[in-house]
Amino acid sequence: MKLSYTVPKLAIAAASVALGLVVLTSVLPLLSGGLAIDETEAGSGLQMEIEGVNMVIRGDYTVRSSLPYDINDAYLRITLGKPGGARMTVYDGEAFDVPKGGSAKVVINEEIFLPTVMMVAVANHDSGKLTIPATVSVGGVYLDRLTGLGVEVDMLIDVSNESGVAIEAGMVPTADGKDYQSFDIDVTVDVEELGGITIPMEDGVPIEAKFGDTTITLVKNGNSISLDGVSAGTGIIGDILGSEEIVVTGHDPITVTEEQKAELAEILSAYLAEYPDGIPLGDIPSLGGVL
Amino acid sequence: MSGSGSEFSLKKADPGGAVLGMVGAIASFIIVPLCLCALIVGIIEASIRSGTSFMEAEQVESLIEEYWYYTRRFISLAGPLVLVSIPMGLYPKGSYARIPFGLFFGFYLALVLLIFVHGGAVTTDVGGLGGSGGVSIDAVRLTLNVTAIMYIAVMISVAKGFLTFAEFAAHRKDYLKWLDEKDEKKAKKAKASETEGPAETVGDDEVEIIEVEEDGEPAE
Repeated sequence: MKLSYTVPKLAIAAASVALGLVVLTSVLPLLSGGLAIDETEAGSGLQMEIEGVNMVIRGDYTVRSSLPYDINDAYLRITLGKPGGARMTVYDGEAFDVPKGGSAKVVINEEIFLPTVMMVAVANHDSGKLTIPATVSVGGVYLDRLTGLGVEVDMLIDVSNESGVAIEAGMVPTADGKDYQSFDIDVTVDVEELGGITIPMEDGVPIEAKFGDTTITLVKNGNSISLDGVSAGTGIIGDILGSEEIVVTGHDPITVTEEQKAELAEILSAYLAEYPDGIPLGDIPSLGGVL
Repeated sequence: MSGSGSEFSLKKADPGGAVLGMVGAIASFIIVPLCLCALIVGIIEASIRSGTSFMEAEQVESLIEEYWYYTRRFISLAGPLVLVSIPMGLYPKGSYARIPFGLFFGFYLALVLLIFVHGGAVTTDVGGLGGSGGVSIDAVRLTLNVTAIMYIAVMISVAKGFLTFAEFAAHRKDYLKWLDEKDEKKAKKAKASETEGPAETVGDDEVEIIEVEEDGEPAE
């Protein structure tokens, strides 16, 4: 028999066997549930709380592996927003390794400017509560990147329950009659129970947060702050990235750090990039047009 | 010489090889995947019983259902390979007729692998899990990324397809010899039947009656 046939045939057979062994030793344990993410302690899972002008996201998780190889470049990522809609990544920690048969801890402690979060909040018809859709993604690669596993968990976080803050959400029905839609306007956050935080403003005066030709308007009434509206023009991405100051009309400005402004500008730019021709708000009659 | 007619003719085929090829394909593309899925399900159920699994019972049920779905999907995609393995086995190595089927087998197998794993990333939807403490879980998706493994497997499959040419070249002489022997046997049978009585056919095959002299050369 000719070598020109036997050598490649043997090589192909050897490669097939090797590949089969890799699948058996690496992929099968993955499929059998060899990677898990659990709360480090009971109740230490993802929590969102409103603290002043920020939404604070906290979580303490342990990634456990029963796989026969180390997991490299493991990641944990938290994204807000409905799957398939406009989304913003609020946590994307540094890559870490999980040793074989071991575990690794991931601690999340992030602050996000409240109006930013409100852009992706949804109001639920049934519960009448404001919830924030979030996706927690965890995963990693192993065996010299030959295989990788990712777990994505879509969750709805009930902001009022988690924060102890009563929230009234003005519902804006969608044209196609869906139960909820992305929150855009008229959310009232009752800050009465927030441990004595005082909003340093008079009632009924709009607060405008301006970024280029994008304006976010908040209104304070008693102990409530309402997100009154968001307006955005076209071609503003560049302006947003070079964000201007946040203005409180006729009152002392809200203390918002440059970091927060930059964060909001960055997230807003990504959000608005989804709508190059402006945000279509035909379904929201209360705004009376395209913002 | 190997006789006349196309090499696709069933007269130049090996029915036993067809049966062997089909049995091999059924084992590779139906029985092995079923066994593999049963093995995975068995491992998962054993880990649940022993309490070493990280997953909840609802998740496990959903996951097992997904695995069976993927197994059924693979079997249905690989069905044509079982059919192609019949002519592949039917025509012996070294035959021209085997080449197109061998090539098709290799390329279609590569295609099946790519389709089956959606190019390398298989996503399994475990479903919602309810929730507590103000957090409700809508969906859990597991994504297995085997892109690298898949492309190696695809390359192996394509190489197997091209190996048909090397196989043809390596077995051509044997094949022609086999055909000669087959023709010789037919000729002998024909001669034997001629001595018993006039008959111009053996079975379904038409046989050219050649008078053979004592030295083995055909008579003029």
